[in-house]
Amino acid sequence: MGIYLEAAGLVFQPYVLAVIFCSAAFGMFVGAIPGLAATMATALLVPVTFFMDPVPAIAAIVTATAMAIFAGDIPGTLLRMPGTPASAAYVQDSYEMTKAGHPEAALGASLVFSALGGIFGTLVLITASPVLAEVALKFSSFEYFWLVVLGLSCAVFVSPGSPARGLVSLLIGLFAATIGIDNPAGAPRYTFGNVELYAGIQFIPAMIGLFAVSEVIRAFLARNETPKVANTRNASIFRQQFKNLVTYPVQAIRGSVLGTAIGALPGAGADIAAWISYAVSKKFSKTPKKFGTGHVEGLVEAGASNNGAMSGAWIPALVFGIPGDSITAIVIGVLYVKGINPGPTVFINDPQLIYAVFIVFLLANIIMLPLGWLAIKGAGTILSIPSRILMPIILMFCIVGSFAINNSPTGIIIMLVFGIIGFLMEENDIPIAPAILGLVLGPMLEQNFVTSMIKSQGSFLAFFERPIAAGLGIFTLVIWSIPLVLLLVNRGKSASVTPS
Amino acid sequence: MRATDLTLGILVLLGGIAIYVSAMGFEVIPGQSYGAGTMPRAIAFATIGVGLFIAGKALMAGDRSLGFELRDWVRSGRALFRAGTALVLIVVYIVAAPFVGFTPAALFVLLAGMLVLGTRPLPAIAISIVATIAIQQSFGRLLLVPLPRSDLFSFLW
Amino acid sequence: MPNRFAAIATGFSLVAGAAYAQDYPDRPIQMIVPWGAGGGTDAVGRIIATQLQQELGVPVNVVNRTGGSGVVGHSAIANAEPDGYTIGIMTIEIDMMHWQGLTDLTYEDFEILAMVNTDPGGIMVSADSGWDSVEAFLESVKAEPKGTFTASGTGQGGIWHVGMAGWLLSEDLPPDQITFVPSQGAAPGITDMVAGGVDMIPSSLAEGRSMIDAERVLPLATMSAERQEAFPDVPTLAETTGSDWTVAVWRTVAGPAGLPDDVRDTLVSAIETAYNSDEYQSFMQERGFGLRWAGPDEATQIVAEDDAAFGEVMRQAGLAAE
Repeated sequence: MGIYLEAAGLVFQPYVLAVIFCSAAFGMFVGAIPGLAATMATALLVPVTFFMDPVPAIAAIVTATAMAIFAGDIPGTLLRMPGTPASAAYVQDSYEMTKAGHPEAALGASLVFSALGGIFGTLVLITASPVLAEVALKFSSFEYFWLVVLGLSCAVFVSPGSPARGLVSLLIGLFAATIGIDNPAGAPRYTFGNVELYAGIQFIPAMIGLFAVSEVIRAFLARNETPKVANTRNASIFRQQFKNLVTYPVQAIRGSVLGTAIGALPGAGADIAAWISYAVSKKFSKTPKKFGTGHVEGLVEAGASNNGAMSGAWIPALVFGIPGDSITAIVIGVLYVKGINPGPTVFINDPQLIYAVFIVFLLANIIMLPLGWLAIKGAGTILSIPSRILMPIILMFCIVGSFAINNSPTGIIIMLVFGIIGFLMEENDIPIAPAILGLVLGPMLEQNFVTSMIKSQGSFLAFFERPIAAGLGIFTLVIWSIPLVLLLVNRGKSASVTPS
Repeated sequence: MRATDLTLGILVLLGGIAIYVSAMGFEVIPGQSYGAGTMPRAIAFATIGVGLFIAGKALMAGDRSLGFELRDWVRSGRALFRAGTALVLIVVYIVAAPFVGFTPAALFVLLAGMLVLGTRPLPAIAISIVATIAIQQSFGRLLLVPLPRSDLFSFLW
Repeated sequence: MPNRFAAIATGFSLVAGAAYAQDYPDRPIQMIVPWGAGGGTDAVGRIIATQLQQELGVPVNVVNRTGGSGVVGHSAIANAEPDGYTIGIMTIEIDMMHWQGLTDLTYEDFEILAMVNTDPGGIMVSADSGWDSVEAFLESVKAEPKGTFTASGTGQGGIWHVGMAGWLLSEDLPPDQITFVPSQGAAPGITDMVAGGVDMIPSSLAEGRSMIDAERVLPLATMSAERQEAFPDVPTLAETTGSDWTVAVWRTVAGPAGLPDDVRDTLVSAIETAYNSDEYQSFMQERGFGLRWAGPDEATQIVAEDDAAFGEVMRQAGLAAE
């Protein structure tokens, strides 16, 4: 107990609390701007943290990151411009809720269940991180291959409309991911000798193009024909979410658990977690048909999963110093500089520091609620701006955001091309979300497949030789065979019913 | 512009074949049987399969129509002009910004966009100026994004 | 129309150009980092930038230009206007990418200002692998047929791939006696090794530090002439197998070729002050990165020597383009 008090003493100081508050506001601002990612907020804070003590330094980054990730849902919900591939999983539902006049309900759900998922993940981090980290260390390329296939399968199965069209979208994303030279062979593909194309298609400009620019094109086509959104200002954000919690307790817990577990795997992360959770939610829902039409259920589960995964990513980072994503990589660097060397020894040498970090995690997720509430209230005013003024401004944000991701005009060109592709896809009822996941997971799929084949000297059986890989592999194959079996059974039935 | 199911299936099929052909030149990792061509080839097979499935399903349903259904907007010259403007504005920014800098390029894109969508000139000018400065300050100054400088407006940096 | 814009813009930059000769720098400087936020190069770039900013009195903004195995960022540095307002961190990949045929760019397209860090390669195995010395490991590698063992830690043709091939050649083994499995960097490679995916990681020991501390990874040797300060118990190759092979990654601060002399001198002295600052020194030690100062001439010489050595190894290992 003494150690916790000591840790609390490190956190509950005016200076540290002020740092937490300022970085929270900063994270909220960066995250809410379409096209800017949490990674950017973190990278910008690094030089500032050089001049701080360990606890406020970590507090600044952790708080800003947590805020930025939630705030990324704001442009997603209001303007269908998701901030991360993870939030692309449920952007259809949240945007439909906005169009139906309930943006605050959608954002409130994102906020509250993000916080719940984050708190759950932190509690797991505090109590069970050494055990979970051990499991995570058993994942090699064979296991990750199946996990990626599982994530991609979910994208196809949850996509509204026909799975065939979802598959077309996924394949577009996977193909775009092959461009560039960052592949296992290190060979240039589809670059036409252009150095900028060596870097491949960055997913953020592509995502801005597919979602936001296609929407801008549609707005320019329709001019004032877009229906005016009725903004329900009087509804209480938190009361609605309490109702959601009572209605969907299983979903919230399932999302948190699954998100934390997948997030703890350094090669997987929040992107896969949110998609798998959304698919799980739809699969076990009593009303799967409502998914994608502005239904809050998937939002609850995937939102909790998203932030659970963010907390989960700290498990291998703190226990073994293994970064799961660019944010944990930055923080591990800062920890080293501050003399806290991640690894099992940190729990023995500096337990009060680690517990202080845990307290900061909890605080960050709690402070998110009031600040998020303010942000939602403020952001709602965006919807009262007429689209003839709003759309050109959004277009400008898209341009700057696409530029900022690699500080290069190539990002804007990628955005433009994918804007047109996204527009044409939606004209043809091809969902765009699976393309994003294909683009993000394509490199992981290829990396894990090709390296596995090199290790196994070309034997496919190796994908089933390790226990966890075998389990995941069989599970994936079962998922894929169910719809095929159903198709055959249905065909058999309809053949016997219809007399020929 | 909506392709009929059969057309979509055939387009997807052709896309798959194109990927397969283009991937034939990719080499394997020395000493291995896998390499740069593995993934594109797998994507090509999947794409061909999906194309066949979509086209086959359309044919089985008796839908043999080829071509594109035109939506209303294609027939409206004004709508096409406006959508075209949105795309042209992006191109204008890409081409002009490195030469004239961010500030004038952004100002032009915002103003032209608002005017095309029917905002009255005076409010459009005022809002464009405010928005340009706000974006430049927040991205360029606070977030340190290296937006192209314009010497004419160097006081903003 | 664009012509007129261009003319106006050129006019202004001429005016600006005339002004800077006297008082460089008078506006923000861009520091291009060819690798992503969160990596070691990014960290080094950011701390140098922070120190330079204090030294030069203008903002020094870190700009990540990532992707393409470093080709994109290095091209951006080399192709920038040589006016001192764009500099960057040039990494060892510049000595390899042109041998692979990825670009025509070589170190000669840069004005190398200083070398600020080196990290020697090492040999690391999983703690439960059963090998407790590099001799034992080498014996197994020699005894078993080619391809029995696997290694990882960078992409295909990356620095640790070349480093491993060079070591094997120095032990009179074929450069692909150990199969190299490409990975997205040292950290995923090390994780994969601990999960049982590969047998050995030839990356720098600093990159495996947390897992070494956790006693999951065993460092067998360092590929440097002398033992490393941070790992005094880890022997050199020369002490153990007798191989004289050494390899080290380095990071330099560089600008495009053709910087004016006064600009170059201003930058070099500012970088030297930044290098000697307490902040930089303690940062590098805490992170476990190797400190190494070399001025423009010495740094250029090291870069040139590595370029030739890597070209030779890559040709023998079949990693160089025909």
